[in-house]
Amino acid sequence: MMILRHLLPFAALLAALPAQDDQKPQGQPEGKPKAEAKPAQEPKDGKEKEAAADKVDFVAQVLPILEKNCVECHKAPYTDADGKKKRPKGGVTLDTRDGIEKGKKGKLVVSTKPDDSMLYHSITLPADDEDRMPPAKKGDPLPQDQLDLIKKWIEQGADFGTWKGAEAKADAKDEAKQDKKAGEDQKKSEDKPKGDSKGKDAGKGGLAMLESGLPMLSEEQFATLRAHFSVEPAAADSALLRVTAFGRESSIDDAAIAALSSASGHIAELVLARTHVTDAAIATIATMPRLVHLDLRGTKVTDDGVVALGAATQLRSLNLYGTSVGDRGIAALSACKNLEQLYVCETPVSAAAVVALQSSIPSARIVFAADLPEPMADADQGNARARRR
Amino acid sequence: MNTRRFTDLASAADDTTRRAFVSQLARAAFGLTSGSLALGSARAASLPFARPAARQVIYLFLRGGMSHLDTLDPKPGAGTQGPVEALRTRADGVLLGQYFPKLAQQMDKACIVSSMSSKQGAHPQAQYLMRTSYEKRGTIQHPSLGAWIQRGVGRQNEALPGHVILGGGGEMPTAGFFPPHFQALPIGDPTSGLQNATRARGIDEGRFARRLDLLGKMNAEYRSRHDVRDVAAYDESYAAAVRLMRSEDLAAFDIDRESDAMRSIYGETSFGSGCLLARRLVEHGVRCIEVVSDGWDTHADNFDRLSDLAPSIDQGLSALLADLDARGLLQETLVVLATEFGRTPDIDQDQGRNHYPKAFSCLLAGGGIRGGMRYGKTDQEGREVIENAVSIQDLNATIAHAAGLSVDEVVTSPSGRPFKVADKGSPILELFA
Repeated sequence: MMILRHLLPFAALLAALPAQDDQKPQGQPEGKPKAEAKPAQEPKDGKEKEAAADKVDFVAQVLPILEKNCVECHKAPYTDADGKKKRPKGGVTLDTRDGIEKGKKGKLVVSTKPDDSMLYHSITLPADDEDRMPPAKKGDPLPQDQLDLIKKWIEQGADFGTWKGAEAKADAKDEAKQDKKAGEDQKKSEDKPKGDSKGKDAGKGGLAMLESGLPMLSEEQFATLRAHFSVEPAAADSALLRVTAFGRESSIDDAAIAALSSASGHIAELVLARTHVTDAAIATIATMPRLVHLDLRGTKVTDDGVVALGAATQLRSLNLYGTSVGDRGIAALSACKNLEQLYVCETPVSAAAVVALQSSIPSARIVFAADLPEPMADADQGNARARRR
Repeated sequence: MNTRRFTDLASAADDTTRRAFVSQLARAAFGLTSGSLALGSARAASLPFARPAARQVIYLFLRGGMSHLDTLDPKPGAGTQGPVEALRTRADGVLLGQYFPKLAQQMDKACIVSSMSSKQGAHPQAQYLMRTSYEKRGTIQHPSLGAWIQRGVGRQNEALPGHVILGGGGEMPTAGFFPPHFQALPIGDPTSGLQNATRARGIDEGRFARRLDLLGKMNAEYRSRHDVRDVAAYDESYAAAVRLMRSEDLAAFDIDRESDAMRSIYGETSFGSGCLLARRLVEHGVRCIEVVSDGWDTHADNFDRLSDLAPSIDQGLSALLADLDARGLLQETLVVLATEFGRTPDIDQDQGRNHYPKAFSCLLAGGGIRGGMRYGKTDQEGREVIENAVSIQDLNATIAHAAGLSVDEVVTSPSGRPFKVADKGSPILELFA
């Protein structure tokens, strides 16, 4: 009687359930044919259900009971939101068919024999038995109608139908939980690598726009670059590069820059501070189409070099600290309308030239004198100085 | 840096805004030799990347627990404030304690997080938590944030260590369960630089090479019999030391190469010298530098002690921010001022303040951080966080995010346990420009 009442709505639900389960692990690709085979089967399944209206359906009837009462503690090992590795209690897993049929502790369910089935046994123990499931601390005993249902399912042969297990589904749920704090949790598999990047900057068309369609550099090309420079991706998973001379400044001269031309289109940041490059290298550098950050601190580059750089109109940040670049060079930068930062401290550049450049690129920030604090009062550093060797 | 420029500026300033002109003139008129600085908006301009990219991190650690009320989160007029007055800063509405007049002039570059909150009120445990994001446990040694960053983005300068700790003693952050080459190089006294890094007297390069060669031969058999990680790591640390000895970058550790003027601008204190050395290391591409300042555990005579402690921080930090900015390095270098917890709003009978993890403050600047702002709020008396609480893990996640790490990446320790760079922390995205 009761079972019949349950069955009617479930019969309708059934059409949807298996299809849903199959979709979840696949995630985003809406465009893909959605497991076409499944819907075709459903009507047939439905008819069979009607024919054997009395047969307990595992997925529709038994699994929800297990999921509600048991699976929280009895599922495949996973990492919870706190990063803790969780193992199934007592080594018993109820979220996969394998777990139930051939678990570590042996068969939890013996077909047609509820009384030999550990699953049925442990949920029917008296409430004060310490082995009774769910444990008194975790929940109430299952109501009689659910016990009867599970018993009947076992008696009928413990048929799982096509159900194999909810591993993928359970994982997805856990990860979703973890993600909730960081933000939206939909479409995660696609967005994951970029993660937090979809903040307010995403619309600015930064790196993403610059590198659209740019292939990753090959291993050989990387190796060539690494012979002279230190090379890293400009951002995680980016095809754009940050190329620096750290630790090898004395060996980097104009010839080394020429070696960069093979990867010219990939270089977004180039740090040549304190190297031996001269104006002769600038011609190569100025043609790098995606170069946005150039650091020439303390190099021998002069006005001529900076005039040549005027062609690099995509440049956003230019560091000329401690060079001999003067007003003529700075004036040539007025063509670099994308310039956001220009550093000219410790150079002969005059304030007049800075002001002039500022008026032609109003959005640029031009740092031309250090805002250093006054030295410390002697009283404050007296003790410390005494300690100095 | 040079007065000529300011006279030129005044005459050339017709095109600048009146406000810019007045502020520049004021500086020139007051005879400052260092003055303003930058034309254009003071916002931290965006690098063209969709996410921040701090290439270097300087972590200034005030060990012992800095009183938030007396430094970064003053509450003028509150009963808990004590004798320390509040200063206005270059950032509208952002106040600092009176010991930070120079930092006040740099506040357009920095962001105070005044809603730090944790539950750990014991020094070693709280310091460990700050540096690793995890509670101290007997069963595992967690890697420090510096080790995570090196692991995540590698070194920029192969000759120098990726992580250097300047000053301080006691318990140091470690590479934890990461391979030993992520371990930080400790330098006790920043003024004396790296010790014992040159060949012994009388040993020329040829002889040194022959000795290394001999060492290699003697080790070869052992190495082939024990082809395991720890043996390789030992070899690698030898090789790294030799690379460093031969490196032209050894000079990076020598602050005697800085002018006396520069030395006194940073302050000739241990902390100031540490900041100056940190700047030199950043110039040489070292990823992570920690500068430690000790003595902040002011249980008694809090106010006297602060007046001794704070000026070196004020000097060193403001010099560091200004100098990095002038050199064009602030945009790519994240500077963090951190401490393991705050101190009690209530002042006890010894004029002391005691441990108070419930509410405290840290400061971030550069590396894509928006300057001139305060994030989060404590109540009128500095007792409770009432807005935007930030956990230690959140702070570390913010640092990791700035450095280009994915805070979601799970790394499994050799014992099979999963860890993330900032545990459950989430980066505070609002802090980024």
